[in-house]
Amino acid sequence: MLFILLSIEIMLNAAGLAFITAGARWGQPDGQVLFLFVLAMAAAEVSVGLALVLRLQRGFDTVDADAASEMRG
Amino acid sequence: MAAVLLVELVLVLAIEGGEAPSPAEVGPVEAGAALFGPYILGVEIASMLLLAGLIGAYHLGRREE
Repeated sequence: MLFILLSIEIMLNAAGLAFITAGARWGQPDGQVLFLFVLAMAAAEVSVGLALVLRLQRGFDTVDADAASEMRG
Repeated sequence: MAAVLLVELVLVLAIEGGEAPSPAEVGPVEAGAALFGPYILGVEIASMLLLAGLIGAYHLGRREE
């Protein structure tokens, strides 16, 4: 599960780099503004994701995301 | 889908359209002015998103048996 979160962060940063490059290519600040929004969303997602990791650890005694593949009832 | 994006990338790089603004360094002053100007709505919504994330993470991480 932690690796899933790490990969998501890397992907978000890659997309943000593309945003900034596009913004610098045309000399407009819109790319950096969009990257700031993406960064704010990534921060909120990381906090919720880590809280989910805590829940997973407490409920299943493992951080493996495949352990939570069945619904109760 | 990746093939579609690849084709579009090649097309965009090949077609040298007339670009009026030149690539230049955009400092933090212009970025901050853009944040306070046209993007003020996005800033407020981002703050609400962070608040919602904060409350959600607090509730999900509470240790109360």
